[in-house]
Amino acid sequence: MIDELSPETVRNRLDSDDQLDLIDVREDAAYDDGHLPGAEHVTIDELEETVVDRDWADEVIVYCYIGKTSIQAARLIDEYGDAESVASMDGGYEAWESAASESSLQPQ
Amino acid sequence: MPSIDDVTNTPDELSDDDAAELFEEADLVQDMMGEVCPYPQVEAKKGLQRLEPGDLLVQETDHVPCTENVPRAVGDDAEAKVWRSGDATYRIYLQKQ
Repeated sequence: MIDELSPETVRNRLDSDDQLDLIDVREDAAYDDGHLPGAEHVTIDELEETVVDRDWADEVIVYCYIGKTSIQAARLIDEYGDAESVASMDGGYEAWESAASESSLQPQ
Repeated sequence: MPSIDDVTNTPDELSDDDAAELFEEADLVQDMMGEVCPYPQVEAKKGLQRLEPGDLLVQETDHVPCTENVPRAVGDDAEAKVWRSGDATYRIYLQKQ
Protein backbone atom coordinates (compact mmCIF):
# COMPACT_ATOMS: atom_id res chain seq x y z
CA MET A 1 0.00 0.00 0.00
CA ILE A 2 1.42 3.38 -1.02
CA ASP A 3 1.39 6.17 1.57
CA GLU A 4 -0.29 9.38 0.44
CA LEU A 5 1.36 12.47 1.95
CA SER A 6 -0.28 15.87 2.19
CA PRO A 7 1.44 18.80 0.48
CA GLU A 8 2.25 20.18 3.93
CA THR A 9 4.00 16.94 4.87
CA VAL A 10 5.89 16.98 1.58
CA ARG A 11 6.89 20.57 2.28
CA ASN A 12 8.25 19.55 5.66
CA ARG A 13 10.12 16.66 4.11
CA LEU A 14 11.70 19.02 1.55
CA ASP A 15 12.69 21.45 4.32
CA SER A 16 14.48 18.69 6.19
CA ASP A 17 18.05 17.94 5.17
CA ASP A 18 17.23 14.32 4.43
CA GLN A 19 18.14 13.19 0.94
CA LEU A 20 15.08 12.16 -1.05
CA ASP A 21 14.05 11.77 -4.66
CA LEU A 22 11.11 13.98 -5.63
CA ILE A 23 9.58 12.77 -8.91
CA ASP A 24 7.17 14.71 -11.12
CA VAL A 25 5.42 12.34 -13.56
CA ARG A 26 3.29 14.95 -15.31
CA GLU A 27 3.71 15.93 -18.95
CA ASP A 28 6.58 18.14 -20.15
CA ALA A 29 4.54 21.31 -20.55
CA ALA A 30 3.04 21.01 -17.07
CA TYR A 31 6.47 20.52 -15.51
CA ASP A 32 7.86 23.49 -17.43
CA ASP A 33 4.96 25.69 -16.28
CA GLY A 34 5.79 25.00 -12.66
CA HIS A 35 6.93 22.26 -10.35
CA LEU A 36 7.91 21.59 -6.78
CA PRO A 37 11.33 22.84 -5.72
CA GLY A 38 13.94 20.21 -6.59
CA ALA A 39 11.48 18.01 -8.44
CA GLU A 40 12.91 15.78 -11.14
CA HIS A 41 10.79 15.29 -14.25
CA VAL A 42 10.36 11.58 -15.10
CA THR A 43 7.44 10.56 -17.31
CA ILE A 44 5.73 7.20 -16.86
CA ASP A 45 7.43 5.87 -19.99
CA GLU A 46 10.85 6.98 -18.73
CA LEU A 47 10.10 5.50 -15.34
CA GLU A 48 9.35 2.11 -16.87
CA GLU A 49 12.70 2.18 -18.67
CA THR A 50 14.84 3.34 -15.73
CA VAL A 51 13.19 2.12 -12.54
CA VAL A 52 15.21 -1.09 -12.20
CA ASP A 53 18.70 0.22 -12.89
CA ARG A 54 18.42 3.53 -11.09
CA ASP A 55 20.02 3.97 -7.66
CA TRP A 56 17.07 5.43 -5.78
CA ALA A 57 17.32 7.50 -2.61
CA ASP A 58 16.00 5.73 0.48
CA GLU A 59 12.94 7.95 0.35
CA VAL A 60 11.00 8.73 -2.84
CA ILE A 61 7.99 11.01 -3.20
CA VAL A 62 6.03 11.05 -6.47
CA TYR A 63 3.46 13.55 -7.61
CA CYS A 64 1.23 14.15 -10.64
CA TYR A 65 -1.74 16.43 -11.39
CA ILE A 66 -4.22 15.30 -8.77
CA GLY A 67 -2.54 12.45 -6.94
CA LYS A 68 -3.89 9.44 -8.83
CA THR A 69 -1.38 8.45 -11.51
CA SER A 70 1.35 9.14 -8.95
CA ILE A 71 0.00 6.23 -6.91
CA GLN A 72 0.58 3.83 -9.79
CA ALA A 73 3.97 5.38 -10.46
CA ALA A 74 4.89 5.00 -6.79
CA ARG A 75 3.80 1.35 -6.89
CA LEU A 76 6.09 0.84 -9.89
CA ILE A 77 9.09 2.27 -7.99
CA ASP A 78 8.15 0.34 -4.88
CA GLU A 79 7.86 -2.91 -6.87
CA TYR A 80 10.96 -2.61 -9.08
CA GLY A 81 13.21 0.01 -7.44
CA ASP A 82 15.54 -0.19 -4.46
CA ALA A 83 14.05 2.66 -2.42
CA GLU A 84 13.04 1.97 1.18
CA SER A 85 9.94 4.12 1.20
CA VAL A 86 7.88 5.39 -1.73
CA ALA A 87 4.95 7.77 -1.29
CA SER A 88 2.54 9.73 -3.44
CA MET A 89 1.58 13.34 -2.80
CA ASP A 90 -2.13 13.46 -2.07
CA GLY A 91 -4.02 15.82 -4.36
CA GLY A 92 -1.02 16.27 -6.63
CA TYR A 93 0.38 19.53 -7.92
CA GLU A 94 -3.13 20.97 -7.83
CA ALA A 95 -3.24 20.56 -4.03
CA TRP A 96 0.29 21.88 -3.70
CA GLU A 97 -0.69 25.08 -5.52
CA SER A 98 -3.78 25.48 -3.34
CA ALA A 99 -1.64 25.08 -0.23
CA ALA A 100 0.85 27.55 -1.70
CA SER A 101 -1.80 30.16 -2.27
CA GLU A 102 -3.12 29.69 1.25
CA SER A 103 0.30 30.16 2.78
CA SER A 104 3.61 31.55 1.56
CA LEU A 105 4.67 28.35 -0.29
CA GLN A 106 5.71 29.31 -3.83
CA PRO A 107 6.34 26.81 -6.62
CA GLN A 108 9.44 27.43 -8.78
CA MET B 1 10.79 -4.34 -18.92
CA PRO B 2 8.65 -3.16 -15.99
CA SER B 3 5.29 -1.70 -17.01
CA ILE B 4 2.86 0.57 -15.22
CA ASP B 5 0.33 -2.05 -16.29
CA ASP B 6 1.94 -4.43 -13.78
CA VAL B 7 0.92 -2.22 -10.86
CA THR B 8 -2.41 -0.87 -12.07
CA ASN B 9 -5.46 -2.42 -10.39
CA THR B 10 -8.06 -2.58 -13.11
CA PRO B 11 -11.65 -3.88 -12.82
CA ASP B 12 -12.67 -7.17 -14.42
CA GLU B 13 -11.42 -7.68 -17.93
CA LEU B 14 -13.56 -8.35 -21.02
CA SER B 15 -12.76 -10.91 -23.68
CA ASP B 16 -12.14 -9.64 -27.19
CA ASP B 17 -15.53 -10.90 -28.38
CA ASP B 18 -17.48 -9.44 -25.48
CA ALA B 19 -15.60 -6.15 -25.80
CA ALA B 20 -16.38 -5.89 -29.51
CA GLU B 21 -20.04 -6.80 -29.02
CA LEU B 22 -20.52 -4.35 -26.15
CA PHE B 23 -18.69 -1.62 -28.04
CA GLU B 24 -21.32 -1.84 -30.77
CA GLU B 25 -24.03 -1.25 -28.16
CA ALA B 26 -22.31 1.73 -26.49
CA ASP B 27 -24.55 4.73 -25.91
CA LEU B 28 -21.59 7.09 -25.64
CA VAL B 29 -18.00 6.63 -26.77
CA GLN B 30 -15.28 9.01 -25.55
CA ASP B 31 -11.90 9.11 -27.29
CA MET B 32 -9.38 9.75 -24.53
CA MET B 33 -6.32 8.69 -26.51
CA GLY B 34 -3.41 10.93 -25.55
CA GLU B 35 -5.26 12.30 -22.54
CA VAL B 36 -4.01 11.86 -18.99
CA CYS B 37 -5.64 12.08 -15.55
CA PRO B 38 -7.66 13.98 -14.48
CA TYR B 39 -9.34 14.90 -17.80
CA PRO B 40 -10.77 11.38 -18.53
CA GLN B 41 -12.23 11.18 -15.03
CA VAL B 42 -13.99 14.51 -15.49
CA GLU B 43 -15.32 13.53 -18.90
CA ALA B 44 -16.54 10.12 -17.66
CA LYS B 45 -18.53 11.74 -14.84
CA LYS B 46 -20.03 14.30 -17.21
CA GLY B 47 -20.85 11.61 -19.77
CA LEU B 48 -22.58 9.40 -17.22
CA GLN B 49 -24.76 12.30 -16.13
CA ARG B 50 -26.18 12.49 -19.66
CA LEU B 51 -27.04 8.77 -19.73
CA GLU B 52 -29.88 6.71 -18.32
CA PRO B 53 -29.40 3.80 -15.89
CA GLY B 54 -28.31 0.75 -17.87
CA ASP B 55 -26.73 2.83 -20.61
CA LEU B 56 -23.12 2.16 -21.56
CA LEU B 57 -20.28 4.66 -21.80
CA VAL B 58 -16.98 3.51 -23.31
CA GLN B 59 -13.71 5.40 -23.04
CA GLU B 60 -10.78 4.58 -25.33
CA THR B 61 -7.40 5.38 -23.81
CA ASP B 62 -3.69 4.74 -24.10
CA HIS B 63 -2.99 5.95 -20.56
CA VAL B 64 -2.84 2.82 -18.41
CA PRO B 65 -3.42 4.54 -15.03
CA CYS B 66 -6.83 5.65 -16.32
CA THR B 67 -7.96 2.03 -16.40
CA GLU B 68 -7.88 2.13 -12.60
CA ASN B 69 -8.44 5.83 -11.90
CA VAL B 70 -11.52 6.39 -14.09
CA PRO B 71 -13.51 3.46 -12.63
CA ARG B 72 -12.45 4.61 -9.17
CA ALA B 73 -13.54 8.19 -9.93
CA VAL B 74 -17.06 7.21 -11.04
CA GLY B 75 -17.38 4.86 -8.09
CA ASP B 76 -20.83 3.32 -7.63
CA ASP B 77 -22.35 5.39 -10.45
CA ALA B 78 -21.24 2.75 -12.93
CA GLU B 79 -20.17 -0.85 -13.16
CA ALA B 80 -16.76 -0.89 -14.79
CA LYS B 81 -14.98 -3.38 -16.98
CA VAL B 82 -11.76 -3.03 -18.99
CA TRP B 83 -10.56 -4.39 -22.28
CA ARG B 84 -6.87 -4.56 -23.23
CA SER B 85 -6.19 -4.56 -26.95
CA GLY B 86 -2.69 -5.95 -26.52
CA ASP B 87 -1.08 -3.07 -28.38
CA ALA B 88 -1.12 -0.44 -25.61
CA THR B 89 -4.66 0.74 -26.10
CA TYR B 90 -7.48 0.07 -23.67
CA ARG B 91 -11.20 0.54 -23.36
CA ILE B 92 -13.02 1.32 -20.14
CA TYR B 93 -16.62 0.16 -20.16
CA LEU B 94 -18.90 1.99 -17.71
CA GLN B 95 -22.48 0.79 -17.40
CA LYS B 96 -24.53 3.37 -15.54
CA GLN B 97 -26.21 2.06 -12.40
